[in-house]
Amino acid sequence: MAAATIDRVFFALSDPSRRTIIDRLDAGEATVGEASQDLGIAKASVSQHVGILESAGLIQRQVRGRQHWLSLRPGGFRDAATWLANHEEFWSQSVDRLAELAERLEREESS
Amino acid sequence: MTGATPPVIAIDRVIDASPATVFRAISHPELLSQWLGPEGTSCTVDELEFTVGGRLAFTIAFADGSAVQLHGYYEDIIENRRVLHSWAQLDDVDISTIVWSLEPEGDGTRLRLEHHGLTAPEDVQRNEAGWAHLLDRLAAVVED
Repeated sequence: MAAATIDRVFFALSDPSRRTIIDRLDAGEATVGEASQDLGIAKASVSQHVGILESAGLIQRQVRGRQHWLSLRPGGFRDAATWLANHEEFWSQSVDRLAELAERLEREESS
Repeated sequence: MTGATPPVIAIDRVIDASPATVFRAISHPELLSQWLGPEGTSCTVDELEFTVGGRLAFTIAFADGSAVQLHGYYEDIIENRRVLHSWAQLDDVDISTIVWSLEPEGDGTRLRLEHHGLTAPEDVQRNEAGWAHLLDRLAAVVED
């Protein structure tokens, strides 16, 4: 997973309206109207928010008849979790090795 | 903007060595190559000019024979306290930032590493709520 992709995930979750939409979809599929109900935002903003969530790979859209149905995209968060776990492991093991080296250097110098 | 947004990854360690020793280990190529990379990898420092604007470049070789080349530029250096450098794969356009902070603690050092990301627009503030939300979801995914 590219860094830019996880960045889109972070960006997508930086907005309270978009987080509400995600939380509502947690309960299951919903129309755009249902998912954005009572958010107090204009229709144009709703499609923008939905577009951002889609491009981050967090939700998917299905057109049935005249309704656009939204649902969480399976694996959308898993990609981000994998990316994060790999990077976390890289740094946490590097820092462990750095700590060992620094402690050894200091012991050698003081003896 | 680095300070304003939560890091993607943050690691804290207390090390039983002085800030000066830890600083040396992250700034000298022959020491850096001894620890950079996960267990079982080996690191070759290809270039390291430890000055603001200077470049660091290295290759991490994995046990399976694959290798990754990374590089970055030093953006801030405060001796024994802080190092900030960019971080990217050599063939990748995505640039992130690594911040090392060192503070004396007792006879040792409290080290904090932050990996800040990444390529979001400058005006975006990834606020605390967004971060907490993501962490909750990641935790849920991992526990599945």
